[in-house]
Amino acid sequence: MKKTYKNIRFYRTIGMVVFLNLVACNDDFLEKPESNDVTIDEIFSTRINAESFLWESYRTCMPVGFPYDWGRHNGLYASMLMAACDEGDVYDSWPSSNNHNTGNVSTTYTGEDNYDWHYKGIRNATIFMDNIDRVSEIPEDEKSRMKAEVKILRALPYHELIKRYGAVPLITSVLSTEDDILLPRNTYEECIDFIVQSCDEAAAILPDSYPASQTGRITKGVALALKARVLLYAASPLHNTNTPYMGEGREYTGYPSYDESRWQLAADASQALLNWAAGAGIQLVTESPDPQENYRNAIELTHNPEIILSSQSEGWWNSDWPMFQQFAMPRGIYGGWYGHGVTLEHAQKYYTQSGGDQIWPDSGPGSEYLSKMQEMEPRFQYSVLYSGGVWNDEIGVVNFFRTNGGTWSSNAPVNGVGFMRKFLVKGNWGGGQYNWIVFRLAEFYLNYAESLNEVSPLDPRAFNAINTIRDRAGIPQLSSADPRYDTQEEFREAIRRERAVELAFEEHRFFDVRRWVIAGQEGVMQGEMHGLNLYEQADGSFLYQKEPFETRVWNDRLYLYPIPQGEIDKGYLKQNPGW
Amino acid sequence: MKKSNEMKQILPTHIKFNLFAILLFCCLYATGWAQSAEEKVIVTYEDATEDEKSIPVAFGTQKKEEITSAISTIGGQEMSKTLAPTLSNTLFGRLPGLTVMQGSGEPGYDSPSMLIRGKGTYNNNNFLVFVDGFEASFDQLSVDEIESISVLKDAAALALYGIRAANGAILVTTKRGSIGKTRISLSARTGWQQPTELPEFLGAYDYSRLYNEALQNDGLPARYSDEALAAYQDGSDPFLHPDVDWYDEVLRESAPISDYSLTFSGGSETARYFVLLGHMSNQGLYDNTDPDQKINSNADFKRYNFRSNIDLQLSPVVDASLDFGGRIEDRFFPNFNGAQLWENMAGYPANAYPVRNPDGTWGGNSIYPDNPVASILDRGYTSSHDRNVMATLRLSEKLDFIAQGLRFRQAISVNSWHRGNYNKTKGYSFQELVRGASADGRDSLIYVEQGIDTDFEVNEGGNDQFNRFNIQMALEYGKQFDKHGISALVMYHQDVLDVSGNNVPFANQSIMGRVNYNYNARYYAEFGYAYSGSESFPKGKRFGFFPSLSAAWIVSKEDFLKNSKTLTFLKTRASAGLVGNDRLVGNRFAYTQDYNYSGGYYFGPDVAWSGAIEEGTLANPNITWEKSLKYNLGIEGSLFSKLDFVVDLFFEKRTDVLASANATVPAYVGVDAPFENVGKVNNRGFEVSLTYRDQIGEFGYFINASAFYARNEIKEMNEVVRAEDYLYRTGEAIGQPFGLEAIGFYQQNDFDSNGDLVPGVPVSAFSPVRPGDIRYKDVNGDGLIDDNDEMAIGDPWEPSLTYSFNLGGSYKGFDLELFFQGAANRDVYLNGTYFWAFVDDNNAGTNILNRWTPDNPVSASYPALTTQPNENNYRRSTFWSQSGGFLRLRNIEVGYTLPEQWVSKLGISKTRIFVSGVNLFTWHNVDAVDPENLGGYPVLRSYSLGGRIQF
Repeated sequence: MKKTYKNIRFYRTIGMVVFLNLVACNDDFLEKPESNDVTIDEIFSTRINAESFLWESYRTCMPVGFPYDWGRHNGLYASMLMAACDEGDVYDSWPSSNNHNTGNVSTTYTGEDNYDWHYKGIRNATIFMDNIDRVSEIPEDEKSRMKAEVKILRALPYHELIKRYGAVPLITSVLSTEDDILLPRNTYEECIDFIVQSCDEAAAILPDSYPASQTGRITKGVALALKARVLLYAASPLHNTNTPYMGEGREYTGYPSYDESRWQLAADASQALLNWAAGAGIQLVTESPDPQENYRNAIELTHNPEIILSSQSEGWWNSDWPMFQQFAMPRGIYGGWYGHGVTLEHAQKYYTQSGGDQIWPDSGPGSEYLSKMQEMEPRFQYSVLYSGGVWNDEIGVVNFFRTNGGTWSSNAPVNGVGFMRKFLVKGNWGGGQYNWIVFRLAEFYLNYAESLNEVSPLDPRAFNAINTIRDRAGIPQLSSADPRYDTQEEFREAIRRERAVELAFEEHRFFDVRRWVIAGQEGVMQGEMHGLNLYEQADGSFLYQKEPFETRVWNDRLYLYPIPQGEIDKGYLKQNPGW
Repeated sequence: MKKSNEMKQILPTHIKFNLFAILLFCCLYATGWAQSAEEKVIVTYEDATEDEKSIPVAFGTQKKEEITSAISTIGGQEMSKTLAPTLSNTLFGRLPGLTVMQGSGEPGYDSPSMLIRGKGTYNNNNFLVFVDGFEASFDQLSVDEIESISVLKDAAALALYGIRAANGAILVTTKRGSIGKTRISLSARTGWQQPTELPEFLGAYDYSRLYNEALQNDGLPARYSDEALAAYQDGSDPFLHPDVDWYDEVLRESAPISDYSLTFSGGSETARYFVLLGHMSNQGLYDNTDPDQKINSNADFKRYNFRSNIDLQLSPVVDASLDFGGRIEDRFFPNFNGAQLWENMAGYPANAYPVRNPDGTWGGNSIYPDNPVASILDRGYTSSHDRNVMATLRLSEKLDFIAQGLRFRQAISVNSWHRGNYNKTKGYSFQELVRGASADGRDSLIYVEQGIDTDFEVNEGGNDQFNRFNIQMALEYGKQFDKHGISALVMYHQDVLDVSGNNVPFANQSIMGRVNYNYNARYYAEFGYAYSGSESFPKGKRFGFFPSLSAAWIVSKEDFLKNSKTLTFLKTRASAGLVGNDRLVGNRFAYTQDYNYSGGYYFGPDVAWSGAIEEGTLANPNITWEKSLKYNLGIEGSLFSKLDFVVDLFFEKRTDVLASANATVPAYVGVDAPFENVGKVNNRGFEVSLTYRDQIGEFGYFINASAFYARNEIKEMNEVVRAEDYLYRTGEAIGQPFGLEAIGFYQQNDFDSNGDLVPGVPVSAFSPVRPGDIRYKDVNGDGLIDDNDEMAIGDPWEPSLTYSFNLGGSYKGFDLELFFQGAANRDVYLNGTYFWAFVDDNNAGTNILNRWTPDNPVSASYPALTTQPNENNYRRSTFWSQSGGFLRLRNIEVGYTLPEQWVSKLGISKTRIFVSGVNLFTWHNVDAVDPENLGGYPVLRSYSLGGRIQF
């Protein structure tokens, strides 16, 4: 055998294997092939991609109060915030509104807010702000308008954070884990100033309106509205006081001391919004001769002239995904599981049609229950379904009572005088569009009156503002000549009552009782809450009875939520007082 | 230089991307070349049957004696003693080091979960499975095509799998033909399956009576009147007061299972073959289903297996083999989620409603909306049809003319699977019965219709498939130089897996090999290595080098033991090495920042959808694989040539385990923090196996006992800060349960006259408590029972100790074998439908009969009844934990081999008939349920008989 021949073959073989291995074993074989994924550079290279990131900012920044899904919206589990304050209650014990009513809120679970989610929105808005200049196909003026838009989008979650937690760390850049990022909380004052500054800067650039197909985007009015509300909150007793609800952590819970001029700033900001609205075609809904119809349209019509901003995160909701229906609708109506009961305490804040207070005796015949209900003002008729009332044309009259056999006609009590009907009447089994109202004009008349009464007690402009609301509601005006309203305190109470009624269930009351520091009062978030229950008698008639359905528990530390324990454990934040 | 030019001409540059062409070229190149060498080299063909003592190792085989690593092996013969449609269900306790944990018994979906040497990581513990050298699942192969299954356990055994090897590997080898006359084997087995056990629930009377008691405890009025209770008790009103045992209504006594196979094997010097045709059929437990599967169907699984393994000698130096393994799997199910069905059968109380109303309509109501019988019979069915083909072509050339003992091998393998669906579904209506009064004042029935009867709707489709394409090339060398034996292997392997539903295929690639040396067949050493890469890592950081070293010493060959009659064999082994795990958590390409089209927003009155792009978890540009340093010490031997023993000790240190940085990165970063390679886990344990064999006259018997232990400890995992030291998961085993320690019940004297807890008694933060609720230990002594009192309780679900006993004997034609398998050091958490009475309108089990009442305050085994949610009672605690240890008679078989003189006249060489049973007995302490499967489709026991005829 020829040795050389063999060797050549041998080396050739070895060489080939090694060669093939080297060729093949390089990074290219394992390189991720191009696919349908996107990079940040691709996002900010075309208008359509950049806009997708703007919509992402909307998706993550806009507050939502409806329980569209299991925990998907950033709110209570399977219930609405109205059921976690003195407006209402849900009978079933598992929705997380009950945690608030029993004081069962902890540093690890509020059952309500998703702290992290707000910062996701804040980050998205910041990414957009920092990168939009790279998109050459968008004109400069449009880019600056978009920047103003996300500036407000970013301020919205800060407002949601601050009204729950007090001061939080203000993050204005896009952070990575390599950064030195253990930042402490800013002070409450810095937080308010930051939002106000964002609103001022954006208001100077934002348009009054968008083309119809783009309604729902941030306008100048949103910037003014946010500023007005934030200043109202900042001027309120929880934050603007010499006697804070708890001693420690003052820089996080509010200002160092009381300053009346903060009320003036709030009043001015509301005035600015009201002035802008008059010029921008934003006005209360008053077309119909029927006040109930007007009030309903202001709430349920998705693009009515009173809306400054509503969240359209869910679009057209339908029965393929029925959680909203099951969580929100009263038991037995369109698949509702339990419904949100309206407490007697809240019902009593409504006026009668003639502007008086309604008194329900502790018990009486069913006919009295119904007639007293029917005497109530139009806003009550729309907002509350009582037994014997009409849900809508399709469902008709609804009755709920305890049967002669000792069971509840709809399997469970209501926990209140009736069910929340507001928002929901237009729905049916097929679905509907339920935009969550973030700002509507009526709020700012109330904000204006409330703040003005603090710097200028019984100011006629404040009465005007309240009466604008009452006129639309179809109830008699208030007057400082009326001995019931002729002191600052009495008028303050009237303003608060008007606010509770007009803005009922819209996620105001929960925060109002906190910023007014009244949550610990009996009948607010403390003590027995009542309902009116109807009992079927042996002869088929009914008796009603005022009965407590639960005893609520309050602890002053609940005025601000605890910062989630997981964040505290990272060692960079100070906890709120009492937690 | 000339040579390299030549190479370039032969290999055009683009060919490196065309892997198939490379391989084809290599084959042709080598074949042609071999033919040219034909005249010069004379090769003697080695008979493959001499490899009987060989056992599979990574990409090859080695003689048992020369193995330096930790491997356990089982033959197909032993596996076939357990009649199970899914092969891994024959492996319980059979392979020391492999923990097999019972899954559901649902036909077609009864795979157990398995671990090799316990858990080495708190992330993904999946291991590799190879069938004849290429990755493929083996569960649905026919047992009669299995030659052996091996488990590779230590670094030396796994070294060649490099970056993917850390969780171990299973090698499945299929049967091949051997030289000789054609052997035909026909095997048939048929049997019946039943649940090992089903939980027991209260009858209607007890349920109603105790529901009333629960309501009374809640201060609520009774639901059932005395007349109703009487009706439940005497069964006088089966429609308005039904007493339904849902298991009885839905299930039949037993379900058939059968398995048939026909194999041919044989061959000559130049061609050998093994051919199999197999059929397995397994039905479900549901009763009264349509046998023709036209309007509904039982759970039903049918499988057809085909295999043709052909070995060819193309020339004296070129061998080829073509393996073709295929199967068809047909699955039918009622159109109702199986897990939910079993949940409903358990969760619906006996008095919910009658199965059918007096007029023949389905019973039902809105609280229990899915009548379990109607769910099976009146909703149509769903079905799937799977086709799987795995084909492998191998070529091997002897290059003795270059260097004696040199061999070049190439292989390509394709594995293709597709699933098609055919669903024929409908809806049904049911009628809720309500008592009404007729004109004459007597009771009458009112029917309230709910749901809608719909016509059948047919749906087909789905794009469920995968395709796998593998290439291997290897050079092997082996030669004996006097007393020095040397062998070496270097190979290249690449793998591309295309799975529907993934944007891009999965890929990995390696060069690997080993060098073996032995001196005098007494001292063995092996160096194994892999330079392997994974697509999961960033460019430049994709490849790692994974070496291992191992050695063995056959002590019994030394002079001082050579003639020992006592210690007839003794071998010690040791190995150490590094392997990796590239299975990541989180995003697949975690080194790139991920943005997804996800969600969106609406604008305008027309709710115009505006799609959004979402930023995903932050990228980790430095992400890398888990590293596993494995050490193994082994000793094996034989006493008196009768008692064989194998002992292995192992220790594993896993580092660079991914952990989310969420625990340390502030939430205000605003996006999920990346996974970082910071985690550490240690894992250690042992395997012991003893076998004693003897023959007394015509009575032969054996006893085998084995035990396997593995215990891991999380050393680091970037855990969140916790309030108390005992709350940390770090330092505990993976999956360590945490919960409260129950210390009895709240008693009446714990409360004052207002119903408030007396001072000094810890308050539950979960919900208000009352007498008869579970009382917990206030571990941190803060007067409050809350999450901060949850400590490590019991053991994880996966047993740290498993053991088995195998006893067998034969006398003349008779043989008997019993196989027991058990597990210890595990706990089960008994929660949910089967155990928590009345929660969410749940049924009540017999476990509540011994509930707490004022008259039974101490010896009660269930808290005071309530119809309300009770966050205090219904949560993880020692109260709901039980020891999950068990011992099962996994298998028993009695066989009889007909005397040869009877059958040989028929041309039959061997006939054996047998009866066998699977899971006939289980000893355990868990209440009400099977210790391995707490809910859902139950674990099955089976009885079968069968026979095997060989021609």
